[in-house]
Amino acid sequence: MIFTTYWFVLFGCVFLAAYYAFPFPKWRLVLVAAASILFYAHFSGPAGVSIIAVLGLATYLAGRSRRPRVISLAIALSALALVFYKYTYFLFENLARLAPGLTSFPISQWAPLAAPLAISFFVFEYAHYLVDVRRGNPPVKSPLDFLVFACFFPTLVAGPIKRYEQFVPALKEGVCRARFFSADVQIGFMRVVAGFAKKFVADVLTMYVNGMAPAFEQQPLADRWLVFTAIAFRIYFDFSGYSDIAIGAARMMGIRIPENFNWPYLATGIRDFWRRWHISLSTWIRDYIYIPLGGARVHPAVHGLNLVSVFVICGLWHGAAWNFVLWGLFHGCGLVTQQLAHALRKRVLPAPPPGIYVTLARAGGAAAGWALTTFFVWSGWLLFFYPVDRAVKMFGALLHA
Amino acid sequence: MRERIAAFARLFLAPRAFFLGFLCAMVACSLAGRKLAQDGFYESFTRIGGTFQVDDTFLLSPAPMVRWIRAHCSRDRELVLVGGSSIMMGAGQPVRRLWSKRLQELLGDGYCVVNLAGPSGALNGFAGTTLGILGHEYKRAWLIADMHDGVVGYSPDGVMTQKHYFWSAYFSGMLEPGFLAHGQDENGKLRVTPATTMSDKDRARLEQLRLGSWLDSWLHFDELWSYLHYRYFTTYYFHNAGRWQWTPRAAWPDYDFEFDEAQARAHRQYADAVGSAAFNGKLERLRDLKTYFAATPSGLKLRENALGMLDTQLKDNIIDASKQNVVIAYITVAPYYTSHLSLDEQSAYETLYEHKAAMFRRYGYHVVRPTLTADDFTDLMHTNPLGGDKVAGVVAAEIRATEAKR
Repeated sequence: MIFTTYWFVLFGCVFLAAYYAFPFPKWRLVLVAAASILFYAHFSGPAGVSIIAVLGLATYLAGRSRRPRVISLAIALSALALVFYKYTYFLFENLARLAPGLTSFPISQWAPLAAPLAISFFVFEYAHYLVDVRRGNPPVKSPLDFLVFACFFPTLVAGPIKRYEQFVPALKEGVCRARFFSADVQIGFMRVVAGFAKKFVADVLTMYVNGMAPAFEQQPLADRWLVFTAIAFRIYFDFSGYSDIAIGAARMMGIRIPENFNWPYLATGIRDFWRRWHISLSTWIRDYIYIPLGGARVHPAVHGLNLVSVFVICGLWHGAAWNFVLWGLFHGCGLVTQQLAHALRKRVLPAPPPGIYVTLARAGGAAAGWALTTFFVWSGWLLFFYPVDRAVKMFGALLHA
Repeated sequence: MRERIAAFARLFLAPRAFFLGFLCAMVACSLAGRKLAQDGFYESFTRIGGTFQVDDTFLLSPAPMVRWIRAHCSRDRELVLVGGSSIMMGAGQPVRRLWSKRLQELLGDGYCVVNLAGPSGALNGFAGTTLGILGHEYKRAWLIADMHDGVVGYSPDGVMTQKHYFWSAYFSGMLEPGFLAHGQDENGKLRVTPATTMSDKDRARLEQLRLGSWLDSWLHFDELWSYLHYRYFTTYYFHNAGRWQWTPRAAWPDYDFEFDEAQARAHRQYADAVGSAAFNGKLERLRDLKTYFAATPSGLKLRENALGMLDTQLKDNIIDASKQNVVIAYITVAPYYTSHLSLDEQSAYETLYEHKAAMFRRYGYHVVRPTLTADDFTDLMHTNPLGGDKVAGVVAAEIRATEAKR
């Protein structure tokens, strides 16, 4: 919603005009920082600004200190803030189910009603920064560079989740070389337009889905499958549209930020899907949760358990509700099953010598893998968008005429 | 030669040429929008809410609508604008037995009835705003709207789904200054619903809408957008749209069927079976009268200042009913449901009606109340053609009586 507002379009035009007009890189950096603060303050309000300011400052100071304990403390602070702002109600509701006496506790007086804008994104960026500094990477020295990294407005709302080792050099290069009549601006602009077009398609699909979903079971079977497909493309166009706008807006400033999607619905396996879908999140989870847990070097049973846990966390990151947990569990179990099947096939079927039949069989396998993965991932979106019982009913209605 | 081709390609692929092309495209879109607004593009309709319903990506813009009305209603006739909710739109009535068509028949050729009512609409909205644009152009203009529980929206811009229409007219300078003046406070500011009473989402949506309407008043992109949607896309989906869901709005047939009176009497279309969960749920909501009434040992008693909010809204409303001709049709909830309420609750609804009607009359509104029976309804509050004829009858009688007094 934020990028597709007139406010953002006007803000972007004024900002870019000033950005190209400023002759010195330092001025441009200051402008980007000021614009980012203004952008965040406009959409989140003063209360939201105070939280990102406190966490950002703590992250910067802890990084500069380079002391492992201070850094760990700052990581804990960010993680606690995320849990407090995003998951308090969810945790409380579930605890109250276990201990009914808790229901009389006035939780609304203690916990915030809504989380600050984009807290999931910036907390993950701060955590990455702190972990990398603790691992020995040099911290960002310039407060201005860090400020821009901490609240860079194109990526603040919906990612991609940045890595400071890539972002800070790209930022410095961008502010030095950006000029209006350049290929960067042209390419970035086209990317932004593509993002807006995707958002439009996503909004139309949302209306279609919202109109059809309440009476999903009463639709003819073909229409049910159409709605099922629309749900899958709705989230893809919505999210990748946002990423396109973010990447394009940064590119118009001459700053290159990493891609977030790579044709995810062409994936031939669940692992392949996660290499193509929300790449910045999946690589973050891989680098900062999965690998520290031991990666693939632990006992297969532990590895499977780790994979499922990692995906449950991934699900929870998307929202504080059980359907997100189950969506993560669904993907985790799917990935483990796929890996087991892969291992079993390797053991049972020895690698055949190359030949035309093997090539054909591989092509057939890839097609079957694509079909299975697509059906699996799209079914998962039902869990993502609807309460569990509703999702199960809708899934059942897909299989019965 | 090869160099010339390369130079040509560079020229058109170069950023300067690209942005110049983009700028030209924007200007072309703006000019196309301006032309469409001037020419109008709506095709003939019997009720605006019947063939397409307004949503987030389709904007019913006032300029082509006003153009349509001017083309269809000559100035020597009296303009009768039907506003309000789906009840006045005629949901439950086939287009051939639409109540506003019946109203046109009853009033005769001296009047031109235009049905601009829409789902969840209120007094202010498409019809109210159109009155503010066209009211002074006609010999006499009438606004007909409904009053029923659950629908308010006396803020000058109407209910959320119709606000863009008002703001588009406002920023384009289409509203007549005299009409606008009644909606302004002593500092000349419009008395809009205070932002503090809205949810964050609605507030953000309204800010976006106002800014967009202001931009569109200069750029006219909304007209081009509406035209493309109307002619080539459809953007509103609902499960009973059937095969029409993929058809452009301009090609949608209005909701129509052969109305069978005997069948309507035997079992009301879409009405919930007595005792069903849906029926009981609606009954529960009808019983919830605590906003207006206090339970006392002697029965339900109207709270002091229970209608204070309505009083303020009517006093401050942009439509000055003492100068305009506004008829409010009071449509009760179907007796099919209310007959299951206690006598005390039924009497409470009657008291509420009397107080509301008195309040409307105090500010210059004409209030009419058709006598409707259970057979006149298609569901909880929408009338079928039988009920529609009764509504048309009382509205026409009120208009005629007012004319006779003059």
